[in-house]
Amino acid sequence: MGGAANMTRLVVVGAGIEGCIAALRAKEIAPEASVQVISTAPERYEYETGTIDVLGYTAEKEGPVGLPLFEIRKLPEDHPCRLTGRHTVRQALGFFGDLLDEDETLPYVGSDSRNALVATPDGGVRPTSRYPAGMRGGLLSSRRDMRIVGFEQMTYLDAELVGDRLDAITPYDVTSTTVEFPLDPTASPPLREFAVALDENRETPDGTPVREALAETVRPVLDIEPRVGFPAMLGLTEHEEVRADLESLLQAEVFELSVGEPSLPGIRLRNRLFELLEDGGIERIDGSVVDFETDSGTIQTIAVEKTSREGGGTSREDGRTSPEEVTSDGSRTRIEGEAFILAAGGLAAGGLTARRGEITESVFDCHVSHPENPLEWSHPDPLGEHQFARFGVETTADFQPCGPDGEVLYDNLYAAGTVLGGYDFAREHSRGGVCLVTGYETGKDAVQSGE
Amino acid sequence: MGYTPHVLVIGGGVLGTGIARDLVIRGLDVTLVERGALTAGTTGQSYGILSSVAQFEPLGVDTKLVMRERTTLQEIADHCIENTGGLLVRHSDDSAEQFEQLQSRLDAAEVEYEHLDGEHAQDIEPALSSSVAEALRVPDVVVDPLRLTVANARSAHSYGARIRTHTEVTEIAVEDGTVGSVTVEHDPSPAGPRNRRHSDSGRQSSDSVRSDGGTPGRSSSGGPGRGSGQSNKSVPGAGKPQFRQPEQPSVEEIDADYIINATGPWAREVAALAGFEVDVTLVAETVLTAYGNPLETVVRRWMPDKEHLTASTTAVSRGETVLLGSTRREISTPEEASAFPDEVERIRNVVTPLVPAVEETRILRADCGVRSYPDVETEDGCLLVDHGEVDACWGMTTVIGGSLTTHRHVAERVADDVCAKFGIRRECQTDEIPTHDSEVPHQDSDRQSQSGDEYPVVCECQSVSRGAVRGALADEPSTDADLDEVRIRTSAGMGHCQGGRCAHRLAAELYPDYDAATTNDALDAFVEGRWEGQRPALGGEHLRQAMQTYVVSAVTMNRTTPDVSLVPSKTDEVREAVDDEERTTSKNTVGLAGFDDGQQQRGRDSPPWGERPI
Repeated sequence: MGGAANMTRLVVVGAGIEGCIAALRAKEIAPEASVQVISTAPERYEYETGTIDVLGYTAEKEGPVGLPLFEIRKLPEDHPCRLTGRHTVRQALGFFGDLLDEDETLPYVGSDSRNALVATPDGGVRPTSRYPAGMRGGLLSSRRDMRIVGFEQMTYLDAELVGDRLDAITPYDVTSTTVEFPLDPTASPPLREFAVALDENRETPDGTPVREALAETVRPVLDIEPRVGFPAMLGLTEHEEVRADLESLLQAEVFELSVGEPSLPGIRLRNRLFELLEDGGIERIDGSVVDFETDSGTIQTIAVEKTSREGGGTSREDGRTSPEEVTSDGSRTRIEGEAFILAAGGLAAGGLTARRGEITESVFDCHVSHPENPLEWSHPDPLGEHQFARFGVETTADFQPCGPDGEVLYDNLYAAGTVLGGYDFAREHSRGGVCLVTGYETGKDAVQSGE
Repeated sequence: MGYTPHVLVIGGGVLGTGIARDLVIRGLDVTLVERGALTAGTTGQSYGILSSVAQFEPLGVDTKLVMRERTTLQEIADHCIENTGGLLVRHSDDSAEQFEQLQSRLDAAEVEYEHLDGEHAQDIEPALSSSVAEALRVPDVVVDPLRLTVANARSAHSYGARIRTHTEVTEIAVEDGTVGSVTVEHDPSPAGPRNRRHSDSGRQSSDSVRSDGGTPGRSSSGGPGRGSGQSNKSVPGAGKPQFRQPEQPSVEEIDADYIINATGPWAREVAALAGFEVDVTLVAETVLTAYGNPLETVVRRWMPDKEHLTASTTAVSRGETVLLGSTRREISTPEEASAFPDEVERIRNVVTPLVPAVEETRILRADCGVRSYPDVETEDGCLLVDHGEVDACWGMTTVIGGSLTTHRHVAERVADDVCAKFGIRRECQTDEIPTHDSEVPHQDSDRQSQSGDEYPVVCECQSVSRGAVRGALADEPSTDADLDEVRIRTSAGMGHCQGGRCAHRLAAELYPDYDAATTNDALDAFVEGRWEGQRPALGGEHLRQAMQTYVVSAVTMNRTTPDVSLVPSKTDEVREAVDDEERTTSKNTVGLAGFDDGQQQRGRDSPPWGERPI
């Protein structure tokens, strides 16, 4: 990658998709570099859909976009995907594909050029680009009948409502059934608990392994549908195996439907990305940045208050899902870096802080512009075009945070993902694309920024 | 006798339901109409303190009355009440002299209290600041005003009163010096004539429902709709459920023998329908709801005010949340009431010196309620305007004032008055008969987990199970398909995410009793109602939750874009529509041919199930 000598110490603040991609990309370019990722809120993956949405809607078009890369040209000129250009977006998708397409535990599929349509938890439609193989059977853009199965013990997905709504808007038959999951939960809500039971293929009270028991419950209601959808809870760690077992037991393609939060597809993606970091020799540090030091316009070190995490659904001793406990002994470590990537997320993730009518960027106090009156931050319609959805740091075209005058704040700081301001990624359905391409670009630029 | 007078009570707050209950228990025929859901007006925005100290009631209210009513309500509505006790505190900055005056007034009124120095006050309420110099411990209790109103309504209903929500009075006929029939508009759609302070928007939504005839399939609230659940395809095995259609909006006349106007801040508007003028003093009061409750008691700072409106700084514990107040200002119409972001900081700044932990709470909402008072002093803070006497027009009384604490007493006065008019001599019994249990019975869809929790849970923040939701929906005096009726009965959607996680699951409980379009309208209306109070509070930590809710709504649920209909190919669709002149294609039609069908991908290349060679 060019003749420039690479820098050797990169610190990525934030372990969301953009942070992980930035770290992995940096390591690809500069295998000898030390890359560290500060993971502050890994539980945030519970809100990730697990799909990569490149671009779903543009201002010009009411309906979902079919060709996301092609439509990038319709985005505002300063949009991250416009700034990098669609070829780089394609490369970033390719990079993600190289990481996960052939993956054994969490294969991702999807066409780079065409969007797919998947179902929402309340029976609507949304576009996406790349998705786990476990969602492929549920593509609404595939014209085959489907049956949706819900569980009496959970309220995350009302199978009848979703099925009937989809049936009304699709040119094929969508039917639905609600059955009893063959285990009684010990605690509520039971989503993770059921997933773990499926991972372990735990026995039901009458001694049948739960995967088999589940198939037995569903088989009588199956007609000739070639595909059967369940709420996204088919295993956490052994998802592909659970799905393959159910497919052969039911003789139908088995897929998952998003249920909102907690999103197991998001958690699976986190677990896989974190494994990829580890395999790539990238150190992940649990903690939050509490301070940083600068010298002549560059960030020198950050102070990280380390946290340790226990529980939170990973405990499999008794299948109970205990809330994750995050503890800190208050100990701080200083981490030096030659370049830093701010990938701490936006308002929802805590990368931005709202307090007393002020919005600040939480880690490096980068400039965030916002209207003075908080009433202007939101729209009177709860689903309206909220200003707050556009809050974030301002950057140069190279994603270096800058002040209102366009001056770079720190020579060795880059920003990636949803911490970027000026765009409503949620409304555009472009979060995945933005996270991939900005992670991909800043990961490269940051390690090449050395002399 | 043989003749039973029919009384129409207008207003579904705690007072209106209390009046309906009293009258029906005395054997009268009672109809109650309320524009929105029960508690949608002032009642829904109140602190829920049953005062033991009259100084916090409108001026002139008799202390003994306040004490007696507090005790009575504890006896008849015990299930709505939490015996927290209260502290009247003096901050070290406050005048000791004024505090002594308060004390001597309590002495004169024979209020039981205990004087505590700052340290002892902290023993009782550890969340108090050490700057609290002294405190009076008074027997205040906290009541859930939503449940109390539901309890009144259920009780009245059990005695035969008709409780009609989503029913707005639009005309009151007056003929020959007598009040005649009352025209009401009933709009049962979820977004019906909500009893919002912004009556404009309420009218708008009811108009728009009428203009499209309440057509199912489109959202009547203007938000993005989800398609109708009615499929035009034949379904194998048929047997589609028959959806309950909410009734069409209707207009009817109610012929009552007497009308009670118990609409609080809207009393002037309602009286004006009959051509009467009444004077009501309106005070807009903003109260914050904060998550992370540091308190066990009611804490109030005594801040005597020259105005006849008492000002106080109050923190009230309510479950996981704490209510903080307040800012007050006089307004001239209820529509002027609105909470502002700067009030959030002002309230926080005056409460923090008393309860420092408030600094760490997350402000979820700032709700502006409207209090209404008569402009003359009366001993119970309430004025009955008999339009027969004042306007020489028989048949209607407007009730002005009254409070949560005194509402039962006021209802008794109203009922005494009405009974006297009809020569009925029956004693009030509302102080003896317990209110109906407002704990609406759960429907039997609940199970017990091994740990004893009830599941499945719909609202996690408030631990509301499916059975509780279905029970609330089935409760007789509630309007079909209005999720606020569920909220006031179960507290669903009132926790720290304000319905962000559960609103769509709550709505899904309406299905398949109602069709998909109604389900979606109910969701929109509920989310809008929750949103209104959150907006002024979004200058702080709660913005994070609001963003999270928005992202889930926009991305995961995709509720920000119009509904679509999927067809094999848009080109074919257009061609067919042209051939068939009757048909038009919708711009929201999406041709699937342009989308990834799972076959053209980089990954696995085996054909999908159903297309594999056997």
